[in-house]
Amino acid sequence: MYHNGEDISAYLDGELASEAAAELERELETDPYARAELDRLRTVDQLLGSESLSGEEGPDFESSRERTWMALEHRLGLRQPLWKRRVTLPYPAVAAAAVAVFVLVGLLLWFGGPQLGNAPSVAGTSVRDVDVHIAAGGTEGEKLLRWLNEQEVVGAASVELPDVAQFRIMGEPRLIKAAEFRSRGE
Amino acid sequence: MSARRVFLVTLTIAFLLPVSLGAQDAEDMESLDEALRELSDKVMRVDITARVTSGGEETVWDMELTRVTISGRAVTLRLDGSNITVVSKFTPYYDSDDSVLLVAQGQTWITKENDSSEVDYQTSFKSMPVELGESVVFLPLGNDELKMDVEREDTGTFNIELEVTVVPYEGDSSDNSESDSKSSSNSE
Repeated sequence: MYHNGEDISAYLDGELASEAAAELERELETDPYARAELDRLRTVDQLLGSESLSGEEGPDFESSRERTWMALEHRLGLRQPLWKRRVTLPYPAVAAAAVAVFVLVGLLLWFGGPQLGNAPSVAGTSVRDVDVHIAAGGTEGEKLLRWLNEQEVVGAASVELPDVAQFRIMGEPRLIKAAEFRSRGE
Repeated sequence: MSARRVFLVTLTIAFLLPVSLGAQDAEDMESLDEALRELSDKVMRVDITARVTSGGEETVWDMELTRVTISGRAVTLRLDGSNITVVSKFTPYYDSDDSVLLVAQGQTWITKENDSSEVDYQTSFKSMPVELGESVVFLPLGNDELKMDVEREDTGTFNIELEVTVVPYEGDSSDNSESDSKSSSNSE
């Protein structure tokens, strides 16, 4: 008995009754055409992923759909190049990115820019010599002097007098010119 | 305004602002340079010689000190002895090109020879116009009784003299703003 392709396909899918299946198997042993049909249908099954149907994972319809859609876009000229695509960005993200860029560039300039350690020399001395740290910014002479006056930049001196000397107040403190003081002493 | 336009404008500002700040920085440096040059003309050097004298004449100990300052800024000197602390502040104010008004403020805490628990305090505020380079002497303890003691040949009394000279600052005259103090003692 010759079995057509439908019977063989049903056999391949396990849908054939046991008696019919046994009969078909006997025929497959003797009929090369039937075996060839069975091989062809198995190949088709494999190509269609029918084997994976019986496995644990289902078919990847999503990737197939994506590939198909991309092929259609390409063929119909619907696909835009990257630089022509419209990009939608949320405002907070744009602002945050701009601030981040600004801060980064500012930090680079701040730490990599000119420092006051290389401040210009003033009459043989530099800012560092007089231990002045100036926050530059719209400085003018008077402002700078005022600023210096507000700072404790001119150090005080502390001196230990000889221990053996005992002092006492001898009158009102005086401020006199040295020449006059010497002449009075003489 | 579309999101793309906002993004482009913000990005442009973000990149241009640091450049603008850099230019501002350069202007500030020029301004600072100019200010420092102007400042260098107003800097003064205050030379102080502190002396401990005995009997009004003999110097038993002295010390030299140099400070750099500007008009209106005090140079402070603190002297600590066994029974005395003297804090003197000398403030020069530019009066003209070659003269200053020197203000001397003195505060003295002193204990009596026999009673260290009792402290006498004396303060003073003196001023005097002086020529640049001219020396003045500040006597925080006074010297009235000293003359009487000298007349009585009492040489056991010590006094403090602070000789102050204000000169225009010249960078090559001193390597540092604060020169090393030099002291010497002639008490032996």
